[in-house]
Amino acid sequence: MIGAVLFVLLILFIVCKIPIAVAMGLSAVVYFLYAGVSFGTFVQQTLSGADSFVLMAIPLFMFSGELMNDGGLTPRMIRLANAFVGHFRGGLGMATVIVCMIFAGTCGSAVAEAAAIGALLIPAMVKQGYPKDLAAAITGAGSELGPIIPPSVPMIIAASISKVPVGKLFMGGMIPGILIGLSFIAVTGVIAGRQKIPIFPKANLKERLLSIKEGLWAILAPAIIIGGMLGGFFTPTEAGAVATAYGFFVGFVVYRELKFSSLPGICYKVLVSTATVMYVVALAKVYTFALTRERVPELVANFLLSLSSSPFLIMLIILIFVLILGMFLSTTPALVLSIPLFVPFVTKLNVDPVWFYTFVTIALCMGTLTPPVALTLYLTSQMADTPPERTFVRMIPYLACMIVVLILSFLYQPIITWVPGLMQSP
Amino acid sequence: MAGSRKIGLKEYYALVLVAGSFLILIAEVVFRYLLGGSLEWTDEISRILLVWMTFTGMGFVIRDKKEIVCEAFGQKLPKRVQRYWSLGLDILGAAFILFLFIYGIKMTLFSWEIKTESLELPFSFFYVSIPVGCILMLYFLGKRIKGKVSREGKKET
Repeated sequence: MIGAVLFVLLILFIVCKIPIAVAMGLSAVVYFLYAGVSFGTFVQQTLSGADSFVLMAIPLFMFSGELMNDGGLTPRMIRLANAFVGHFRGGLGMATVIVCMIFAGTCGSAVAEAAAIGALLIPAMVKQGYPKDLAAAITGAGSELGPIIPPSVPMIIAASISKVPVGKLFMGGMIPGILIGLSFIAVTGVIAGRQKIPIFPKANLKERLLSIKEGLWAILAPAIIIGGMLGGFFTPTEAGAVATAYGFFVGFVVYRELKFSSLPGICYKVLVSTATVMYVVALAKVYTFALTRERVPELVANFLLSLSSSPFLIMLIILIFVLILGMFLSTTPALVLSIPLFVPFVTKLNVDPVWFYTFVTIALCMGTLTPPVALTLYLTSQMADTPPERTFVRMIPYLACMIVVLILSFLYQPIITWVPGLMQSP
Repeated sequence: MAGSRKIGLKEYYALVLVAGSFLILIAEVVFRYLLGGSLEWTDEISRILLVWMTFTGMGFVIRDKKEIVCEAFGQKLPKRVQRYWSLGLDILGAAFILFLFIYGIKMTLFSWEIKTESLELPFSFFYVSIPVGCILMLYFLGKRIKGKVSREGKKET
């Protein structure tokens, strides 16, 4: 009963526009008063929510992403992708998706990726005759690969709550991410054909070789980061540090576009983005402490299992639930609220935890593209100077691709579990 | 935000936390591969840095108005009511931070005797980030509330 009250209270606070972290904290305060738990435990739980070596990877990957973007990797990635696919109909849109895929190998957040890539590619696409809403949709959808292809901030959070190794969740996103990326390229080609977007001349061999020479450092970044984790050379948290070191090296030594004077500003940006996410994670710990103490996750699991004995149907219900949750909450709050509910369910249904949490996290990541709360969609629409409703309509084929890949990875689970199985432990 | 381009104290503070945690972890990797040994203290120090990033960083999140709020439910209330509403929410938020501050101090004092595993540092080094962060949050939230109140005052006259 009190479990239900906790839910209602949280929803009420959130609807009242109380910041989500505070809403969870306040609901927990009410519970602590009711149950007579000491407030010392409240603070202890809050701290333990943030005190985790695994979560340390979040600021590090944000740092590396900022360094690589400021260090001049993005325009070189664009040039490289464009030299190879630019001459197809919709080539620049395809190049955008490819850049998103490469960038995703160094960056773990959709919004950060959209900001970095959209700033250069949305104006470029519009200049080439792409409708503004299409340019925004391609960039928004492509940026979603950021948290799906490793590394990934949402996967770090999911791993820290579910206690599944982060590296495994990272790698779980690998093949789905590549499949989604390839399907985006195909869809972009089809749409561009219908829109009669002009074709541009093919780059000659010299241009291609030059773009490879220039862009090699950009492709090496994800290779080192993902390869290093896959080969067991370093842990995901250390991979964040290695990625940052690489960002420093390329920015200061190779391209020489980074300046020491811009470092404090970059760090401040990283600090603010980290705290935004981590404060929610910390206070969610107290809220879920209350839920768990009232055995709510177990009740939810039992309820789900009582609905049907077919795992397919139950997973379908979970998928729909997660997609709806993602519409109303941004990824971090949606994750911290839903993952604890799934923990007993995963043990009871005997599903592979790596598969399950990767699947759920990918589904939740789609939430930043689906209104009413759709950070990435709003950001790219704003950058393209077009209403988000129109971008959303353009986005539908891309969302459909993601759903198809999700369903495929449900029907054939090795799509997710194969790469994590290859991992060497550090 | 015109002032944010200038490098101020907050940027240097961020540099210490963020670049510091990077240096510590890269040191761990370098030591393992070049010297074959492992640094035992990197785990604890980086966790302390992360906890400080979380709670003190939240002060700057409030400063920059970056808190995660659910915008899904449109406000149909009149503008004036909305303004009072948001002022009320800020005051409620401040009350919550004050609560966290008080019990944060209690836990800081309480945990002085409890030591961490490898460096044997007092656990207070972790806990004190909460009250320090709360002071920053209260400072910036106070400024926001003050701004809203004075704007209301101007409209009345």
